[in-house]
Amino acid sequence: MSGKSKKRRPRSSPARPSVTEPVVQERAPRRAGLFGGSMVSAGESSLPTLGRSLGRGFLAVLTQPALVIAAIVLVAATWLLLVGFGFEGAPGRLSDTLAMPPISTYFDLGTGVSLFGLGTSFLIFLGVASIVRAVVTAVLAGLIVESIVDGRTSRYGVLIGLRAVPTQLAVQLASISFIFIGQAALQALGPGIGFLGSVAALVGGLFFTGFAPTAAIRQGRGVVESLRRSGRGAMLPGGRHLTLCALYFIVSLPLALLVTPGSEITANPSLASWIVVFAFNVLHLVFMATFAYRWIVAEPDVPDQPVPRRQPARARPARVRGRR
Amino acid sequence: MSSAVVSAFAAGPVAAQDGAGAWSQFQGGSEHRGVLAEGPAPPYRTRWTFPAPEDEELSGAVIVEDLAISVGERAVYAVDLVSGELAWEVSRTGGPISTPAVAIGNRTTVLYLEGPDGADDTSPSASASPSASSPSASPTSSPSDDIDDDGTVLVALDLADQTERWRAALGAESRSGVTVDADTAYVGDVDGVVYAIALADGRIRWTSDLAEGSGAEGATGATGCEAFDGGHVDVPIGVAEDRVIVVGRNVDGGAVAVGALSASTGECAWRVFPQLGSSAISAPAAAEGIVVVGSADRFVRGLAAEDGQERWSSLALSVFSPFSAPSLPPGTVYMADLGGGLYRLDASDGARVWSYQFNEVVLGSPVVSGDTVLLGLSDGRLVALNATSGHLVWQAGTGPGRLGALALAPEAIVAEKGGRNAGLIAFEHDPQGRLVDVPSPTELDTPTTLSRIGLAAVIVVAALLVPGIFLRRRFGATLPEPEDADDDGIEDDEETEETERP
Repeated sequence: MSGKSKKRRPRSSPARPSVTEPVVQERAPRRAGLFGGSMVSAGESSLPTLGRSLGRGFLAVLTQPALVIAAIVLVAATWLLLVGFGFEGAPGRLSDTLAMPPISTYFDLGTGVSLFGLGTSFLIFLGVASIVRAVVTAVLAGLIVESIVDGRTSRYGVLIGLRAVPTQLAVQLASISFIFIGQAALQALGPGIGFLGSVAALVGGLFFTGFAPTAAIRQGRGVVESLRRSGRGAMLPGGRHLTLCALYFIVSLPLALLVTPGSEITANPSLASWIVVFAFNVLHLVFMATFAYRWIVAEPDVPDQPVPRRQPARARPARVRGRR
Repeated sequence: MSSAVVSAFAAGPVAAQDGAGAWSQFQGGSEHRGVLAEGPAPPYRTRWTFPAPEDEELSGAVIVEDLAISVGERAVYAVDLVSGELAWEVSRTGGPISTPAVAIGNRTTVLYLEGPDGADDTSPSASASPSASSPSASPTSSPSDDIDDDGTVLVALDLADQTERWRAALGAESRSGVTVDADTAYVGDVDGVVYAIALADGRIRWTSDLAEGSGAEGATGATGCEAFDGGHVDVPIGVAEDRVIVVGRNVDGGAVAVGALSASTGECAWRVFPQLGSSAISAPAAAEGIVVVGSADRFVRGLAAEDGQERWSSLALSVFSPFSAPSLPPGTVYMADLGGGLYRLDASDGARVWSYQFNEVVLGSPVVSGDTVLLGLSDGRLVALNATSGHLVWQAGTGPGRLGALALAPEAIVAEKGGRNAGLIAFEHDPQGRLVDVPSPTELDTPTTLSRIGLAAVIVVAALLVPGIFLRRRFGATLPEPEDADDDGIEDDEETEETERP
């Protein structure tokens, strides 16, 4: 990590745009409904293009040895710790160790069920794992934000990351809800539509909470406000944000399961398994950086208040306006 | 297994007991202990193979008087245990294949299930289940006219001359196999009815309906073990300490129940529902006052034989096959899960002593031969583990197709082989063979794993950071400079900062 001082850049919270500021008032009405504009062209969007976002994500992680090494150390330590606790499972699941929630929540749930089955011990494990994951993810998010903004990683990144811990913990809990909703959809609707419903719950969870840790780090607001602003940021039109979330989902679950060797239960994964697992976890950090970069760029345009839903023209009688 | 011989049937009828070297039914006896203390030790070699006629499958074998007896689709086969030659066969009219049983006594009797012809594994019989008022028994030696064509028939053969001694008609199709204890045979059917049938004459002593309550003949006022509608009794029944241990499964509704009936009256002693939402459960085994089953929540449970209270539970990695039962040597439980995990548990508290992971589907039960635990795997391997260390000491493949139920004799192991080369395979001790000592892959090999982690880390760091350095030189590592700030939405340093760099 470098402590060398560079040109001063915004390091935490930029000025909070007020609803009274013209820029916000101009952009605020651009709401196209739930997921509106999330899969269409990024023509005039406040969010950068997917290519640019992913490029900056790669740059933010791959130029920082501390982040790459942290990913490797964390995954290896997780495995050794779990095996020490008696975990028996396939090492392929390690590919999602550092995934963003709710993907990572699958890792925690699966690991807990393998270790303890469904019961009180499982709930305790889930609570502890959620706290540990919240701290680790928040710190990584802080380092990533520092890397994006300052081009380096230092203790400062760790410190600013820590203030996102409550928000990250809330995201963890919300993710568990998303997964249960997905499972309920699967049970209720069957393997066809139900499967799509469960996938939608996961992608939707990522869509609305993906910006939350960065928002908390950058703006230092409370848990609820950070989550709200994350959702509003995701709803900015034209950013193809849903496409990014779907892409991340595909990379994290089907692709990781397909590519990662090590479907057999063992405590001693092969060299190939470790290489693929490490690479996938670095890729998770890249996506985390991609989300962080998008938020940082779009941050000034994220409204402080929910944007009123535009009423259809025929549903807005002239006399209503006249009464005002 | 109870060793009582009922003298009332001394005129010819039979009673089950532990004959010397006999593996008389599923898992060796009515308790399903799956143990033969004087069984062969590893290493092993193939003694003989007996292919199933017409490429059909055979049931797990039972062993008596140097014969391995197995049920096929169209016949019951007795194979000489020494030579592997067919000793005799008796034709059978079809129906689901299940493990036969042997009742050893003055007249040793082979019992097997037959028909209904054309029944498949998925369609339950449409026939009505028998009731208390109308038990259908045919206590004569010849096939009777009142046998229901839609139901299965329990057939008793005299081992000595293969003459048919009697037939007992059940009300529906049966897949449970036959369990023999003392002077009674027990079978279950797909309508959820349990039958207790006298070995002497094939008379049905009592029936108990898991779906509708007891219909016990001679058990007035009996309380039934009714569990749920649509339940099947298609898992081998266990008997221990005057308790008939029954597993009822509702495959469509996803429910199971374990019930204990009085062996003498059919009255329900207790019943438990191990889990909801799944019908996956192992066959039961019982010994030393404990009933052991493996259920769909991946727990192996030790239930008190007296009242069904759970004494302990132990978590496995996968669910359990209904074709698999625990093995219960004194003080120990061996259990194999569907995913290939074999576990040794302490029978007193369920604590895991060791486990071995084979990463292969297991549809059979572990058996204990002396100090060796044996298991057949779906890839055709027979594996042997040291009971003390839990390490693999010997293994051999038998070609494609599963290796299922194992039967033990003092000089041989008889394995049921499935798949294209279905039949029976017998193994014997091989004095020239070699033993190995391979720990479970779930045991951490610290030096190997750490060296792999280190090497992988070097490779990944080099592969990712070198391009990273190039990218940094090409594009820079930070956001665009201030002139681009408007595009990126980044404010300059005059803006408010809530966190100052330390």
